[in-house]
Amino acid sequence: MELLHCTDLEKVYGRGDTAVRALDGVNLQVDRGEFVAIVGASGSGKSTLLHILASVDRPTAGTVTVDGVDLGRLDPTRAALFRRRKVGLVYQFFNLIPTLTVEKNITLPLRLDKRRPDPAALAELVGALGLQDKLQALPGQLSGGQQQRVAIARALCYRPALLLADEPTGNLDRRNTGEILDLLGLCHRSYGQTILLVTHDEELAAQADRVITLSDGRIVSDRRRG
Amino acid sequence: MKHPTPARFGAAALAGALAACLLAAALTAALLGLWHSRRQMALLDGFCTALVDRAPAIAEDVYALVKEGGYAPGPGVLAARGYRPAPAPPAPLAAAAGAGFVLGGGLLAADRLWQRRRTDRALRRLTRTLEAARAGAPLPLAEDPEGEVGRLGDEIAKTVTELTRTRREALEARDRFARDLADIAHQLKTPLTALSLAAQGADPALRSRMQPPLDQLERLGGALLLLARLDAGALPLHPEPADLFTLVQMAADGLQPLADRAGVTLEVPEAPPIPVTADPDWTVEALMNLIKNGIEHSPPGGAVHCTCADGALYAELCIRDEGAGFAPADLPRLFDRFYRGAGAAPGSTGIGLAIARELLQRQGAVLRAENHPEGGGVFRVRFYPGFPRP
Repeated sequence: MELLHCTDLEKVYGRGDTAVRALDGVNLQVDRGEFVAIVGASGSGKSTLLHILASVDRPTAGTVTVDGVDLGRLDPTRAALFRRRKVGLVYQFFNLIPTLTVEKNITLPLRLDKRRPDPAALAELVGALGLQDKLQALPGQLSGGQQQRVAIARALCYRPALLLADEPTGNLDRRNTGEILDLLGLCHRSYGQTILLVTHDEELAAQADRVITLSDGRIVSDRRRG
Repeated sequence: MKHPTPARFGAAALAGALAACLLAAALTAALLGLWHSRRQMALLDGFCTALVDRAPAIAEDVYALVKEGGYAPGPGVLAARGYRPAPAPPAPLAAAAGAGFVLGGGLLAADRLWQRRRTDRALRRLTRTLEAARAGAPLPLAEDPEGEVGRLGDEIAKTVTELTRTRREALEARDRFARDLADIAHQLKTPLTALSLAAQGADPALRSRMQPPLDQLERLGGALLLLARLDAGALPLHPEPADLFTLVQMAADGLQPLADRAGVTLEVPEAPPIPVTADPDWTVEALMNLIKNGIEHSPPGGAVHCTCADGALYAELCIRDEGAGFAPADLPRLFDRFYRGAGAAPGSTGIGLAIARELLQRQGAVLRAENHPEGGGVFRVRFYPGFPRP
């Protein structure tokens, strides 16, 4: 079942001679339950692609459909709702709110929608990510790996259709990197979560089932693991 | 008595409501009309009385005017002098109107609230039905109101039934396939056993040529069957509370003969009990595949170290050999099926590691391979307790 479909996606910054073609005709299809890594050098357009998929940015040409929603047609309010409910985002620098406890950080998307988190589901997610003893701590009191786990819990608390991770281990040491990758893999296998991982590290990308390589805004290779 | 259909029920209720409103309005109009006449009479009488009182001389003129009638209602001299009617209705009427508004408004709001509650309850019931269907639990009884929610409930019930049927058919197909696979496995064993026996009865030269390929055929057949069962979902794993250290010991014990023949020591340092949830038999099988790989890549006189540790987030087992380590080109594809690296032992099937990974991942564990900084290759097996089984 198809989850994501990009057709002739283009993103151009600037105009005329100084125009930068961040994405230059990207055609991409991702099914539900896939674990896809998007690799490329700095400037290849992978972060731009991720931001368009998260509806944080809009393409200059082409269409993007995620879970049946045409992202190009969303007004800012709808786009915000889409981001909150359909997409989970994990960043390199965690992006937690420093004045909220871990529990409040995790349940923030639900609270913004004035919904109550289901205690059982929340407990399961928190337990899976090993955060059950840290719920009342502040982000400043946690290690990098723990903070990223909180970010992952937040991204997953709405059980989004799509989990987007932009260099999630870029700010972590080797051991924590391994843990975060393990956890992403487990989310993929245990929850059937569709994951798109953007990274410049080929070794990390090898953990995924499918590796797409971007270069100069174009897809140059799309390999599935045997 | 026949139950009215939803559409007719709605129309009847609407007609009834309309009739009640019209009757109430008619009654009010009639009462108002009555009261109005009496009031007008009282007003005229009161004015005439006051007038006669003040100017008795014109009393006869006043009575004559009243008796004649025939005067048109104003506006007349009073209006010309600037008199206007009172802006507010008289107090009793105003009070009655106010009471009517409040009562009517309150009833309307209450009715709306009640309808909303009813719909919300019905929707919650339907949501629970869907959740129960997804979890495979028995469905709660459907008792939906008529109207739009009722139709929704019908469609949901039909969809859920269809889903359940599809799922059951898929399971039955899978079980049939699993039984077929088991049959094939048995059938393969028979000629292989016959060949093996024949080989044992042959002269030593012939036997030494026949036995290794026969052994390999047997291993290959077993591995292929296992993979097929895993793929078909026909290999039920039964995770239960177990001790990781014990599992490692069992795997090492199982491989002792092979280790002895290869001149490799299996070193399993003492560790306290480490609780994991795993299917004991298949986990040991997976671990044996990993340790066997370590043995095959260790030089004679070397050792394979199997170290367990328990952590906050996961329990980990490291299997380290003292060989040359993994070639970097092999690492990304190590666990792929039928992949044989450059240093693979002759007669290896290339499935052992793939099976190990499959068995471990099915139980929610993570398997990685890397090169140890002090040389040799390392398999890391991590059991994450918090995650549900895939």
